[in-house]
Amino acid sequence: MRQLTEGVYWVGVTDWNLRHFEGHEISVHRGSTYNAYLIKDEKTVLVDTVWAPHADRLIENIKEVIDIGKIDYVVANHAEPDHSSALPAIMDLVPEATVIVSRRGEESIKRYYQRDWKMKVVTTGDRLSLGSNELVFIEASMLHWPDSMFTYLTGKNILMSNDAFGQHYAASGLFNDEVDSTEVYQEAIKYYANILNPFGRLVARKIDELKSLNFPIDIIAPSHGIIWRQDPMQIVQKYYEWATGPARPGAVIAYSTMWGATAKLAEAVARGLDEVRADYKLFNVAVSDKSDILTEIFLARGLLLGSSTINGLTLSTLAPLVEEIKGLKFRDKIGAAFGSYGWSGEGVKLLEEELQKANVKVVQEGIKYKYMPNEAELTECVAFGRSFGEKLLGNG
Amino acid sequence: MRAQVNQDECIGCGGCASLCPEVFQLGDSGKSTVISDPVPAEHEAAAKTAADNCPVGAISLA
Repeated sequence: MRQLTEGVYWVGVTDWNLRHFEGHEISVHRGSTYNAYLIKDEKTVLVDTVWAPHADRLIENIKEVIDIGKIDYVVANHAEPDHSSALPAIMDLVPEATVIVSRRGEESIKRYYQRDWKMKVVTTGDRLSLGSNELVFIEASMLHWPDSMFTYLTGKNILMSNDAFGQHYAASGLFNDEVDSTEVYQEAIKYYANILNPFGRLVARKIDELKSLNFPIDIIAPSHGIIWRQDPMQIVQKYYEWATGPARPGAVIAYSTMWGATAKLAEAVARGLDEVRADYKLFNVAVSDKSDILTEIFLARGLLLGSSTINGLTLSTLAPLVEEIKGLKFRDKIGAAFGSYGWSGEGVKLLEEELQKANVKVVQEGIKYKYMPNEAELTECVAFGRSFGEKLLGNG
Repeated sequence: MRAQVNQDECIGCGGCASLCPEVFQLGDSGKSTVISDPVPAEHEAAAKTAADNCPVGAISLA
């Protein structure tokens, strides 16, 4: 338990050893936290819970602040189980409490838990008096589920934004001014790129709406990671830039190789980018972290995919990355493909098709070489990289 | 340009109404409805953005 400000407490859980999230979809190298907040006024409110395996710890933390039976309301900003699956444990202790949800939250919470809790459905602008202060609710649908909602506490000027503005980051400190800001931003951008990017257009609109509400904001308290207290609007500004701004004029070269031929092509393409001073990062996807590569793809304008052909297809180690780029809806990207082959050689064509499905504009025809590239062919790869680099820099 | 929202697929997230309020609005059913059909020329780009960003692909433009 930690106090945010008078009458408002962090009662969440820090998991230092968590390494994968949303099942095993996303890597979280620095652990994470499940942030839940307790507000003590004339009425007592718990805002969000934690993942069910940590329910006991949440309950202990609440008991450090109050008699748990005093909880009048539990706000469920979002039904994803990392925030709501301790609800049954809490509600068993306070069966008379009211669960506050968005319109879509009513559906998702009922579907998940199938319990007859007292529920109050709120929409944007609805207020709930707690005594001296009020809660104000702001629907934030598709940031990042239909049910997502923000809860604002007047008087204390705290925006509890649930998954928006969060990071998977375990720390001994609670606030951004107590931790290393470089680490926090590495995790914040990875979180945005891997989770929120498909909804970037709506992120920008929501920020405009938030600003138009003119609420004073002293603290932004997300549901994962550190709480933004020092210059809290910095993360809102960053989100706006990530949602609307241009990507870096650089490239990610992501490839998979069986006996090293495609790796040679990748390195020669990189030499070409280097020759025109285009920025690049090179990843052998089979030995790299998928979520980290996706963050780099988000940041860069160019994406070069490489694979050898196996059984008429591409290497299976490349498939998870390719699947993700189709789902994450990156915008304004250019790409191209390359690869080695032994006999049939469909891989490059398939990669080009996948790039197109991911809305990446294929700006030059792919290159493929049989078995092992010779010196002349490697020179062609360098020219391929140079040509792509010039397009990235706007000279091609 | 004509816009249609498939009422079976719509999840009522309101994304389209946020991105193109001149054409889409959440109706009493909680689902998106087209309020300006055909789509006025000046809102075609916004309507396309809304369709592209519909999380369930429920908006069709023709």
